[in-house]
Amino acid sequence: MSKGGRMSKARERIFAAIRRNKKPLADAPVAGEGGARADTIPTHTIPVRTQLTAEALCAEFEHRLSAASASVEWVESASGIPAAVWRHLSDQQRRTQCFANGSAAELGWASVPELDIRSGAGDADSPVCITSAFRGIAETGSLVLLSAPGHSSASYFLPELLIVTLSRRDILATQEAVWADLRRRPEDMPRTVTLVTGPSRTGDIEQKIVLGAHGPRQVHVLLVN
Amino acid sequence: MELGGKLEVGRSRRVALYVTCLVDVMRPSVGFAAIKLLEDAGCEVVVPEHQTCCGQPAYNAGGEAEAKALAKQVVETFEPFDAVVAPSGSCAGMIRDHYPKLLAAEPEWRDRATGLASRTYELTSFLVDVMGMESVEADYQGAVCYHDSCAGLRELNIKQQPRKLLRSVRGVEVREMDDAEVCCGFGGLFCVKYADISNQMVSRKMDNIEASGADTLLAGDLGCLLNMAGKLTRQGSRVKVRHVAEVLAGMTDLPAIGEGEV
Amino acid sequence: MQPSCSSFKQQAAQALRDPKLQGAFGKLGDGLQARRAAAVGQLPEFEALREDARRIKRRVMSDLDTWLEQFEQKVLGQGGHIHWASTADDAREAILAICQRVGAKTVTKGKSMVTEELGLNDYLVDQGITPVETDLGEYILQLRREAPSHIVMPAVHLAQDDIERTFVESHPQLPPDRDLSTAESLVAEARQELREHFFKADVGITGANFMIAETGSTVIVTNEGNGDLTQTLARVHVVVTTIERVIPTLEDLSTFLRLLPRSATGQEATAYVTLSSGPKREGDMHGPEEFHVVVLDNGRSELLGSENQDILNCIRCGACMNHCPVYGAVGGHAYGWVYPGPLGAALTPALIGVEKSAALPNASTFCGQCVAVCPVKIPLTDIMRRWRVREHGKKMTSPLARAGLSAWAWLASRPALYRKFTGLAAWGMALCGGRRRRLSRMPLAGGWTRYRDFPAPEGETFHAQLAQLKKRAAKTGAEGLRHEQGGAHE
Repeated sequence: MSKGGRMSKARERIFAAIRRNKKPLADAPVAGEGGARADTIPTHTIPVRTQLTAEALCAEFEHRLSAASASVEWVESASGIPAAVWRHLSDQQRRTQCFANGSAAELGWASVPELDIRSGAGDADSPVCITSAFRGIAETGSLVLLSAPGHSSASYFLPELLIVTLSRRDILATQEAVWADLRRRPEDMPRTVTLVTGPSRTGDIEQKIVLGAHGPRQVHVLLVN
Repeated sequence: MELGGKLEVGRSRRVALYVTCLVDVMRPSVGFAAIKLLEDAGCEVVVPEHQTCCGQPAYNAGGEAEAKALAKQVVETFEPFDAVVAPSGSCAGMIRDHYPKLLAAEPEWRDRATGLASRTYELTSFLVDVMGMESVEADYQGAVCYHDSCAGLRELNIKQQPRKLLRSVRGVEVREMDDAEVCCGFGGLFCVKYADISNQMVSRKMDNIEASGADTLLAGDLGCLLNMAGKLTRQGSRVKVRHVAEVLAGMTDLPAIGEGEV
Repeated sequence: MQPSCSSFKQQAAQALRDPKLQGAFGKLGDGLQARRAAAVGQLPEFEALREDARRIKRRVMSDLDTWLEQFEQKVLGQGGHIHWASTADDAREAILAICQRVGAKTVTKGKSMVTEELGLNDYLVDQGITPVETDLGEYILQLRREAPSHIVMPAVHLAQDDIERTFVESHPQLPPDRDLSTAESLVAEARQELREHFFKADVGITGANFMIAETGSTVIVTNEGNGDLTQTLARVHVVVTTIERVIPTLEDLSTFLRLLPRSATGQEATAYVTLSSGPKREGDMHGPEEFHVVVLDNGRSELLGSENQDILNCIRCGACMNHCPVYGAVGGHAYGWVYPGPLGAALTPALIGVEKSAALPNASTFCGQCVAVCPVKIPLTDIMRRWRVREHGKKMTSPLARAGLSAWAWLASRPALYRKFTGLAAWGMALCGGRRRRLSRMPLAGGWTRYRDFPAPEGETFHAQLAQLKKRAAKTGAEGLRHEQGGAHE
């Protein structure tokens, strides 16, 4: 039998077994007619700690970011980002070659000639990548990064230092708020949606936490007022 | 924990004592201590004659038919009483948590089992939660630590009740050992079938008991107590082991569990 | 992976004699257990979330085919491929066919327990394809040719110096006198070694913590970032997962994401959660040209609707094993197959048959700690007990044990006879205990007395003493028990 034939046999077998064995739930919603549509989404428990005023939202986001071992800095406007990047890199005595992604690539980098800014995702040895986040989640201090033309998902994982810019108004309380925003966009679901919460880490050696396993050792967030 | 529906806190009532197999054979004084405590709390205590085993050993060994037969016998024997009290979280948990599941396929028996389950209690939780007992009249000289037996803790939420009463015993200092909530490795037949693993578990327990500095180890289940007492005496430890009811009833003249000449 | 669950006892005994292993698993209390307790303590809604999660799972299972079909439609609509695999063989062949079609030489892998279930690495090697594990723990184990001992922390059984030695032996191209004395230096070396593999790989294989029906996305929940590099940099991304991992919506995902990291590692959130939907799109700088999802059944559909269905709710957080005193004593390898601990004891019999794995559900004291910490409230001990019922019903237990059990039940249903028997037993044991009041040896209880004494009974049973008290009370005309009983003890 051909591979394809065998696979459709497997599909038939699996679905037949499921239909034979499954037990209906008295209180289950009718799932048959595309039950998982945006307008029939059931809501679940949302932690009370996410009910925050606009001011408190930013403070909570910052607090959770540092709890996740990320660093954070405010800049007044997008035009201040290149200078802030330069400051951060020189504080860290880092090389100045950076890859910039997405809207971060279109900032006024010429104002800081010391920085060697390249557009792209970087390679195996990229020291720094700068990218922009779609949203921030105050509940956990997570950055929501989407893939899109010009936005490489690999660039979130390749560099030693990941710098992420995020506008104050894009800080939301919960993941649920982010999903609602994603559904409101005219585009399809992005190919990748990545929630980044602090630097890469591992506990695989004797349960000790070590930062920078395969991804960035440091995550620095520039919040734009 | 639910307080058994229609029972009213503090009211006198007819209580059936479920002695349990292990107390019956191994440590009868725990049964008499339970009677004293219940009577002190204002209960009329009855010991139904037809009681034997709750069926838990069969139940946990996969012998469902045998377990069901014994469960029905217990339901019949204890149904007439306002409440059933056992000096064991494990046996009380069997009746409260497991009988309704075990007999689920037979609606009549399931309902009777559910009824009995709602009136069945472990001793210390009955005294504190149902009878509203705040303290006991007893003396005991020593630093005690209390091991939270698994079924009592996780099936019946027994945690503060024995400690509360122990603190009222004159001369007692209650100490907490590390990992008081971790299983001692008894587990019924487990301790014989998986003796090596059980030994490892009880050995870790020993370290925590000794480190607590307590001179007396207490718990609410005789299975765990026999296991830990046997390990302590084998190791030549001087820690004494008793059922919590003995101390609460002030009935500690009898040698501790496994305590004898060296 | 060939199961060796029936040798559980011997494997456990070996683990108990290994001081290094004892040290490694002894650290679970201060490590993962303490971290989970702290994280759960900070979220007052944790219990409500557990109940929500259980509800979501029940809803999924009641209509599993519908959610899987929705997921399939979405994946296909986004240009992905889906491969249904009824058995492990089906899955291995589907993966091999993809690898061969694209001429794959090397395959990078993110951590996936399902591929362990398939024995995928050995299979690919036999077919001339080189798999490279990229999760740090899995990488270490691949170098050592060992199986994972934990579903989240695969190398938790190893001590740091074991890993140091493995790296010195396995990376001969590096200076032999380099400093590998810290966990940081070991992590850095693995990072360096694995970097180029991500770029060179033809196929990247990952598991999936969830499939989302609403969006056709597969989701990985990770900390290291290797899973993302695996699925982003290879030409072809193959997700290997199982039928029960589908959930309806993004909101459902959020509920699980509040439970999973707290339960697994005590984190509020893992470093990474990535939702992947289909292959690379126009204008994308990176991403796989092909996106495949292999969905395996391998016996799970037969659990559906059965009394043990709830084990399908498992989200593989590992909390049950982190908190299990038996797992903590013997570690993961003793369990003899892919899934150790309470999860394995409840799931393995369903996947490989209770005949080959009855030792696992028996190796539990039913202490219930696993149930107490399970984020989706799986009644693990009830499921283990039902496997014991199955084992007993199939007469797989020893004839002696079965005879003993029915004899005890027979006796216990005859109270008068029972009294005589227990009276004799109490008297006999007290006699043997003598003035030491304990027994060092006892027939049929060698397992007990090998390690501990058996405390002797008081002598007469409770019921015998009570009967005497009553008799005396009747003679003296005293009323009630209370007076007599007080007298008996003064």
